[in-house]
Amino acid sequence: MSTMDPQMPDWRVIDAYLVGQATADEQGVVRRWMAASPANTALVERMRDSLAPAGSEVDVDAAWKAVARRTGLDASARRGSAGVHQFPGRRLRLWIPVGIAAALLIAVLIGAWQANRTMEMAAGPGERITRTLADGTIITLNSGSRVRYPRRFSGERKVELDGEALFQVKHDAQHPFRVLANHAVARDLGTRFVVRAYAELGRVDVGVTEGRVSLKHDAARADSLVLDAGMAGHVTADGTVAVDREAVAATMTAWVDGILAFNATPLADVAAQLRRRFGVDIRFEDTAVARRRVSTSFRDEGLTQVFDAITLALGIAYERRGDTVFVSTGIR
Amino acid sequence: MVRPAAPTPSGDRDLVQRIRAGDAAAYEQLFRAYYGGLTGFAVRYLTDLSGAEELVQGLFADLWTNRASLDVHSNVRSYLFSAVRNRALNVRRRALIERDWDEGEDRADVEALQWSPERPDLALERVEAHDRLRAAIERLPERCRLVMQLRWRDQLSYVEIAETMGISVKGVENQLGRGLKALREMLR
Repeated sequence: MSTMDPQMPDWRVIDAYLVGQATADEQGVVRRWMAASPANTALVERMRDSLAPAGSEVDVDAAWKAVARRTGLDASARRGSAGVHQFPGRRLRLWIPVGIAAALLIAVLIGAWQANRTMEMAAGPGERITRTLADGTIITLNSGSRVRYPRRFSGERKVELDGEALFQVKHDAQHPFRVLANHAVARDLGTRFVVRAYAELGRVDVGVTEGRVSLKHDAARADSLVLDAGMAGHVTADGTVAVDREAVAATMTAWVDGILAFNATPLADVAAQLRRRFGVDIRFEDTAVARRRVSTSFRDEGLTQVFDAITLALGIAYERRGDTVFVSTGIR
Repeated sequence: MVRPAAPTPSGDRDLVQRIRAGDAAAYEQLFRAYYGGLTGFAVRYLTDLSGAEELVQGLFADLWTNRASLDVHSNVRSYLFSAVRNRALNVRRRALIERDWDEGEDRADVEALQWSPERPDLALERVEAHDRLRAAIERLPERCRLVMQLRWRDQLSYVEIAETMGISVKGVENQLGRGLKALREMLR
């Protein structure tokens, strides 16, 4: 059980830090205090998302469409463009054919439109969100990740992922569940699996803990790779699909319990997770540094502790300037 | 994850000027910039998310209808957040959810905060630091939590918060300072 350092800086210094107005000296004071314990770190680095009321997922697009309808700005809303000028008083003219058949047609179209409404769920830095979809599938979304899914599934089940998520799919042989992630398609064959699709890595990794998943590039005639429980594989942007013999599906899901686990992981991959966990940008001095590998794990530690540990282990250096961390060999 | 650029007071004044002139694109931009923050604020008062969304959408719809009388020189953020608060208080009064909400906010002076250790060992120790912080924040008095949210989540200035909540700038500082101390105590 950690004890907070009794020398908490004056609240104004922490306040300045939290609104991005702290001087370099003040930042140093806060960071040193944070390094004293995980509780101190959390107080600063998790403050922003801890203040957001839980479970408030808003569909801003839908909200805008509702408001546009209310104010008569419909036409530009339907085109979904923010760059169009619409003068009030100009309504979209809907030509309504006469007859009951027409009324039915409109009702069906509206029903289909509502059924196909796309929801988007996003996790902020340090957040993990779990949701159950309309079909009973459970998604756990990692920090800094986004998933788009239809409010109701009609026929095929398809979701889009940017980032990392664990899927526990309700099996339905008639309607396979597919995850579209950057350039890859992972298709459920009855399972629990994790998809890691960090755009900057140029590949999508999939690890299966239960059941079976097929993985392929989204190009029309790409080959599929079938992954059984315990297996992990990846598909690169240029179409290579392969099994990862060293990767173990169980370690790919450590984040679900809040653990960051790295096993001879290149820093570029480590950075992909840390960016989203802490909501910062990470830049490497050169590709040689980004290729260095590290084996370690973290749980509650804050950004400073994580970077201190990694750079110490590898004999490299880092510098934090506001929202960006610069990692270098440190030789001056 | 990419966040849209944060709105600025001068940028907001430009938007307001354009909205007054009937520019729907500027109106949409203002909506998208503030909808999430305002809804997150409203839901603190109403607890029901769809009610909060309805409230904020209604506010924006009225804003467009009355755009000709928008004051370009006043602070848009204060205006939006205090308008949400006022409407939320009205909704609560009408629904008789908590007739004493206003008094509740007054009573929630952090001076009187007493950390009563009912089950701090059970509640807080078993969860990780992030969840502990969340739990601790939920234990703060309402007004303290609201002020913190406006300051550290929505990034409002002291003056904007004072205008939104109907308290003095000194009051805002008190809530932040004492609230932070209270959180630290709870997380020991």
